[in-house]
Amino acid sequence: MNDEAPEADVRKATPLWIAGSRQLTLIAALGWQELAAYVAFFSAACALMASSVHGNPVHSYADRQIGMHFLTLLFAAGWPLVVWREQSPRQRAELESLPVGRGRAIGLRVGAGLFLLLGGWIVANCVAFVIAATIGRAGEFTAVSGFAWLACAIGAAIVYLIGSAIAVASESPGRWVLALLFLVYAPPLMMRLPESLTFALRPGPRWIYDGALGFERATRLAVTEAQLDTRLAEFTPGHWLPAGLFWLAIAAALVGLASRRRVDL
Amino acid sequence: MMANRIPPFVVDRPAVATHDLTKRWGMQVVLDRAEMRVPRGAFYLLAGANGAGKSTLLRILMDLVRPNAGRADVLGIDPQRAAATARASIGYVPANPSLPPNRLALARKLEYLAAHYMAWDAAYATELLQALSVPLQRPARSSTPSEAQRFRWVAALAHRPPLLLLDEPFAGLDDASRDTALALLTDHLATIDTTVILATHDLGAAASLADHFGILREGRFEMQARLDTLLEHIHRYRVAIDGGWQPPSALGQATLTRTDGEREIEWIVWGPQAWAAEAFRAGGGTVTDVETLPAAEALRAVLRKKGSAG
Amino acid sequence: MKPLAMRIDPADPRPIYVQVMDELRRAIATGALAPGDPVPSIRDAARQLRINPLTVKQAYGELEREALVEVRRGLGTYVRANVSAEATREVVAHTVAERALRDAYRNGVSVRALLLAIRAIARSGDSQARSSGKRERR
Repeated sequence: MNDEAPEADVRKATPLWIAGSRQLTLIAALGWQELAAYVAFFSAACALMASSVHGNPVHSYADRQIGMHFLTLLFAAGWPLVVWREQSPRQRAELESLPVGRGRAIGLRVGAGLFLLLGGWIVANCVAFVIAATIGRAGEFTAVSGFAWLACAIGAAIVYLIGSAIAVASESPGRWVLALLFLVYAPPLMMRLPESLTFALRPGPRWIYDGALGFERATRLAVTEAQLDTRLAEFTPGHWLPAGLFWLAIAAALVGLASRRRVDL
Repeated sequence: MMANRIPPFVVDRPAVATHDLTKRWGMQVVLDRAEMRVPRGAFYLLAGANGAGKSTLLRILMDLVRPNAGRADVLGIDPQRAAATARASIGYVPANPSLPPNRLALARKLEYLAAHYMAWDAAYATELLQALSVPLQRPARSSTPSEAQRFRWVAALAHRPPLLLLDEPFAGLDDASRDTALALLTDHLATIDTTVILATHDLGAAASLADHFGILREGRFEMQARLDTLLEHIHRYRVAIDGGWQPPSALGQATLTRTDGEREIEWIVWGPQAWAAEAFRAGGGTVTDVETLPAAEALRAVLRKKGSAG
Repeated sequence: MKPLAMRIDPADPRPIYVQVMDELRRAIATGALAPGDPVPSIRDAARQLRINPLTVKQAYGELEREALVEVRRGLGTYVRANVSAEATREVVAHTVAERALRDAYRNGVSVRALLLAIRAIARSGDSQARSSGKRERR
């Protein structure tokens, strides 16, 4: 109705950095309680380990603390369920009505979740370091090779991304995440049994799990090594880096694929 | 046959247009080569029966649903190609709105939405929120459908978009809120150059606001025109009849409703007045009254008439 | 801008813009709007009546064509200074009469019967008004 109104302004989609930061604050607001619980459990476990290791020069605190990786993997698998709570493909209309490209919106949300996951992991480890310091093992902690930490981070990221792909694509992701967890934890446990299925498998398909590019290497090698009391200072990246990167790429691709699923409402 | 009597609806530089838009859900065809044309600055009433495809069409414009064939053009943008850019210029109130059932307060949710629109006007948003009594401190999961719908109204209007897509926006509102929403909408139209597409059954509110309309039947646009063109072509005739009355066959197709009594009939007929009056006379009746119809009634008559193949 | 009480009836067969025009003429005829007075802004009128502002604009445009109002760019719409309430009343009287005649015809009442009825009611209305001390409009 304004006769002197300017020519309709050409509006742009939301800038990526704004959309990304908004996803970050939204997920932080929605999931901080779960994140805090993870940090709390992690810290409590570290405190327990510290008390068992204290005064016992043979056992390494840092090695055991790296073993907390299994808890991180557990959280990494479940965290996408929190990130995508009430955002099943059918409920996602609102996220998708915003002026952000659909694929981008999903990617930003997954990325924000990853950022918070790793942030929580770093905080948890800082607490672990403080606990180490109180029992005089801080030096042990800092002697751990940077690559070991990186292996943990990448392992957690891989499991998180696969979990995200599940949450993005599935109406009821819970059961599939359980399947993922089974994949992460069960085979190594089964390997301890002499008659286990994995030993019975022909060498061919086993490389996916066991081999140099195997899933186990990518996600849990650091843990395995720690539990075998290997000297972490000698941890070589060549051992796990190919697997890590390989599975990281696969996990990211899975997220990309999952985001292509459109559900007509 | 009816549509032939209206001059063809040609719009150059439409704000919104669909070309051969087709959408199937399983075996059911929801949109069948639909060709919609909405002029810039128009208030376009999208009418049609339940399940006629109105919501689907709007969702296609928002790129929430992909058509099986055809394309749409929203303010010069193809939503399938550049959905984000299109949505930056659209205010959308969905049918059956709901909010994700989390514990975040509506105020936070609004902040989140607001950040995505560069043209968001916070002062205007506050005005709207107060007028519609949206409970900002309430967590999303305990908000009622009415509150959710009012929230969506604010989200749609506050960034003053050049295009408003409203899908049954009054359906969940109580009388007072509906009235407030109408007032806000008219105010909005008066201050901002907006094109509006309103899909609704609530012809009462729509008829006072719309200047264009389109009727969607079985996935196609049976009729699209300016509302005053429709009103020029539709009249109610009261005709006194007697024993010698022969219902004129010429009027058969063009009659939208008929109420036949013993001595008087009342028909709503589509077509030029002189032509219809002559037909009644030829049939032996005496036309006692000719009346134009109010917009809502005219639309209702057209919607009710079945099988009027355009 | 003083608020003006206006109403439109969606069920009325008259197009909405005609109803708006009639409302303004009514305001001028009854003195609610004096010559030179500002007319409700398009925005206010649309909001009050819950109608499309373009319809109000159309009505004001028609009234401008009839030389009843004038649009002053940037200031708003005003009743023309040379508008006479008397002349407007005549126009309104015609509209009312037309409506009454149609109604009569529709109900099978002849013109003569209608005139008789009008006179009878006016007379009794006059005596009522006089007894309650109201001033009669000429």
